[in-house]
Amino acid sequence: MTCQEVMDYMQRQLDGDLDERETEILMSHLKDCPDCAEMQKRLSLLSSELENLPKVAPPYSLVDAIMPRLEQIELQRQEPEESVLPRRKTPDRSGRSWFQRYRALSGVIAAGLVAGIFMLTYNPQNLPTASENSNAAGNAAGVADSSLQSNSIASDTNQAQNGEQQETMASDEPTKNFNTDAAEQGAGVESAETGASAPATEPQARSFKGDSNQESLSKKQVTRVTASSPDGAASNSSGGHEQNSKAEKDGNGSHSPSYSGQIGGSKDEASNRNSQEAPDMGFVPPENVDADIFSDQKALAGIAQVQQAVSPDSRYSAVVTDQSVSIYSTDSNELLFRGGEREGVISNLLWSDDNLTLGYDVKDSHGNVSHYVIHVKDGTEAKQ
Amino acid sequence: MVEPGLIRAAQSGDRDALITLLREIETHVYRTAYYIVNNEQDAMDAAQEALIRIYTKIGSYEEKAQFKTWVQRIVTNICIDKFRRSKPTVSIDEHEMVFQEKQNVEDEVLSTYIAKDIREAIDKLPEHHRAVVVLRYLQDFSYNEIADSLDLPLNTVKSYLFRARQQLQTLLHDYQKGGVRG
Repeated sequence: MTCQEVMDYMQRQLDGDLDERETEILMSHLKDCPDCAEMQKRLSLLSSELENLPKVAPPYSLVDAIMPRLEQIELQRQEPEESVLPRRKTPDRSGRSWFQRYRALSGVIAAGLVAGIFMLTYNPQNLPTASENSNAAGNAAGVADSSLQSNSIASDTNQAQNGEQQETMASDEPTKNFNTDAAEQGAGVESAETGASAPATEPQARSFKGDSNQESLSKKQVTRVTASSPDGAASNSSGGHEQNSKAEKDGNGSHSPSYSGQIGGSKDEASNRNSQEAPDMGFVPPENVDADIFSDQKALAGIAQVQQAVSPDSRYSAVVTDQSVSIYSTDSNELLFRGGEREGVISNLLWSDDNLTLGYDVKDSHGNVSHYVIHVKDGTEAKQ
Repeated sequence: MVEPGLIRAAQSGDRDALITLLREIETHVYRTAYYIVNNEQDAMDAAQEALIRIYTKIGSYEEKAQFKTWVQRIVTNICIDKFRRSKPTVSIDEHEMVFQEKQNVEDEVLSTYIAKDIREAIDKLPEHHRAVVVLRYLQDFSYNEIADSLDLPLNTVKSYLFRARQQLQTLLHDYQKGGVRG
């Protein structure tokens, strides 16, 4: 028996995997071979040290730590089964308190967003600074967006009265003390949308790596949008557009020089503007931040180069990165498909209702728009 | 060891049972994460993510597999996929022939390795070797249980474990020589 074969026996002995006969063979070899005997001593020392490694425990209960997220998952699961009305009558208390926390947070984030926008717009020539800011603001936009989404659901739950939803929104929360005008009005507008019809805002600027609670919440929202009006959900600009018109109708957009006026022309125009201008950071100074909070987020999202669309069944998430569209599993975050790189601006990510295909538009520097379709199952991508 | 009744209750939609079950396994989940990612904060993140995944996927667990290997599969996958670091690990093959080296027996002092050195050495192992060692020594898994958890053939598990131990032995030996005797 060679020393290398004995090594195998030694190893197996450490795991209690030797029978009597093998043990005997090993022992008799070790008696005659000091090198192997030495090695065996070392290995068994190592093995016992490994067995004695500290049995570490988490410093605090992990289950307690994830409880809010688990409740969130439950809420999300219940949603498709329950109609909106019963849910209003029986709000989940714990879920609600969670929302309220994020409602307060959304105000803070929106304030940061406003500050970020002003920094951006007042230093248009200072590129390095501007790009730094844009990153920060882009991230903030993602979070703010999903928190506003939370707001909309929270108010959805809270609202018993259907009539003047915006007033409800503006008056029923103690947490609004933290909110800036922008956040309140932005949230108010959003809640009005939610209450009145399907939410029209496609959360384009979503924090990509964000907290999965927020993300899953937003996903749910998108799912609903897609189910009721695939058109609206897909067109990234329609949210801003409808949002703005709604805001103006409701008298919410009270500041006169309105960005929304420029963006509100047509859906396509709006989306092209956003996607084209964003990388150049040359977007129009939004004086009326309140009514335009969503449009601004989209512009910022363009800078941050994060566009995302979740499939109607929430299983897939399409993200625009580096001039191509990637599809991830929302469960495992596994990359399922990565599309080819496109020369131009990618926009209008749109899932089919059957979750099988994702379409998107690419606008090149000459303004020509091509449409591409990704088949998720086959992992193919074709120009149409 | 989690009671089968508790698992079945959790699978049938008893949320309290599911939470109880998560509480029972959280330390095991954390421990594996801790020794694979070798960092408390990442271990907390990975373990929480694993628990959430277990929470959402409990329906997909089938009794033909052991529950504990199913759980460990989830946590090791998360640790390996999400917390993969770019830092270099030693190539395990370089040391394959270590055994052939002439060991200097007479002035060798077999002193106790300190736990920190061992953790550092484990951290230098390639991911799957590290996972095998962690499951073997921190979860007290058999070869078969490790194979189930990591979805590896039995022989691969053995070879990873054996090589990992040889590797650790060499690394710790080097530490000792460098640290204790200068």
